[in-house]
Amino acid sequence: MTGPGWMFWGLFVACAAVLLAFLAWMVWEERR
Amino acid sequence: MSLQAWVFVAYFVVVFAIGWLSMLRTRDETDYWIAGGTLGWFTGGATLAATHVSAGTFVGTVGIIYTAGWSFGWVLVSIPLAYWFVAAVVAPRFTRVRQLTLPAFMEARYYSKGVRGIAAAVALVATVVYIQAQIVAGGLVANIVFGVPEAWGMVAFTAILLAYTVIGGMIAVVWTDTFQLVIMVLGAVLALPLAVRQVGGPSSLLVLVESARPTVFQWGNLPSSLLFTMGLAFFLGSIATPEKLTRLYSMKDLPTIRRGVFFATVCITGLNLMVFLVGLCAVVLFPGLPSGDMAMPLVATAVLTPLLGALMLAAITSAMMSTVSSLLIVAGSALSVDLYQNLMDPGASRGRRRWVDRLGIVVVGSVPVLLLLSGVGKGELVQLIVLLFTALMASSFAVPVVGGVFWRRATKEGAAAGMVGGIAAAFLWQAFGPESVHAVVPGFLTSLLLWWGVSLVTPPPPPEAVAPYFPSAEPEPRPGVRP
Repeated sequence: MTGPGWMFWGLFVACAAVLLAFLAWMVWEERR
Repeated sequence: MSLQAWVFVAYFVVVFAIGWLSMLRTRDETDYWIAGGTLGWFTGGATLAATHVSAGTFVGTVGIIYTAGWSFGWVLVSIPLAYWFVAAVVAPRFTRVRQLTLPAFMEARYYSKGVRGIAAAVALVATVVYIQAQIVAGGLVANIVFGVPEAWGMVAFTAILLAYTVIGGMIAVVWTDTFQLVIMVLGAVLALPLAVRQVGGPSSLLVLVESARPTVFQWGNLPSSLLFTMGLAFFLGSIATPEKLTRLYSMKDLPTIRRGVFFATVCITGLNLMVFLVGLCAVVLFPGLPSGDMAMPLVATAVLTPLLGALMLAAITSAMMSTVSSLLIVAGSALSVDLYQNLMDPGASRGRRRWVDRLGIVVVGSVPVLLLLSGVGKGELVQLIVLLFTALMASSFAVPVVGGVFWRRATKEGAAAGMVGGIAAAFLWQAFGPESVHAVVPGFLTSLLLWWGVSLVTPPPPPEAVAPYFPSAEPEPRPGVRP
């Protein structure tokens, strides 16, 4: 596959998703 | 003197001042090696992020994208996953008993001075390799800013780094790291829009990159097996390298560790992504460089305004110095605390230990630059050396450290076999194995099998050694922390 397709934009989405999940876990852990 | 040179002089003055103030605050070895173990989430997270983000990020990843393409970016998704794993799984058990160094943890958990000695030796050797990679980048920056030969730059940077690390210990490292992280974030945040504007905005950037170097957006410049296993190397390395694990001991409690690690992860991931984008601009602006490692310093001098360019170079320097200073602490403590005081001279007086601590840092700081000046280890892409270091550390420490706090039955013999076997397998693979699979895979698997197998056939550990690390037991008071 050529061109800045999913490989390019997907990286930003993936990083944001992992960080959000980490944050959600942290908030959940602190409320526990 | 040019504006760039002035910015650097100001930068060095701040760094020295922090080193001096830290020296005044350092009272004992707990201060010197883990900053008293009382850091909050901001400084604790900042020092973790600054340590992680190295010249490998600012110079090396741009180099790899330049030569091998954007697919490498995916390797870095493993880093936030790894830090989440650290905060959620490793830290709660690992920090139950606070130590000064990672080899000291190995002695406590595996009830053996020998295991501690092996861990210290591994940390020492791997760290020297890693410092070399960073210092090479320092030479590059010195050459651009001051016009001096790269060898002089490497010597000068080493001298500056040694000065503030030796006098101020971990407290100096933590505060200089915090300052340096601010410089890195500022450099990246300010440089990115300017560099993108130079190439005509975001949409034309992508088109231009593709016409200048079509391979950048192609999947397959690096074999998928290599990408996946490089990701594994970063994952295991982010979990198990001593300079990161000792930062967990530096923070004051578990909630602080969670917040600090999250803060660090946001900084690391954000910086990585911004640096990637600047790397793409470099592909358009300088399509024919002999080495991708030159791309970032060139963006700083030729694309940005003089002040911003100086800030960017200071950011590259900060990335390098904050990582090396932390490694100096790891290697210096391995040499003086774990090897000298623990194995050779256990009865050393307080004053003698004080000198040995500082001498240890000077010794481990001088070796890499001496090796470089004599021609050893030159000419590799910075990020590949970083990855090799990460693989060696991961192959020796990941299993005994993480496994050690989860499997009661793991024995000292198993830990020793796992460390030695893991690092040997990684070395052999690096030298003779196929390049399409990163050395961390055979290293990690060998380490896991030996640690597990040897543990099963050797006598179980004494209950008092493992008790502090397992929830059913009463946690012991933390040695090394002042009441």
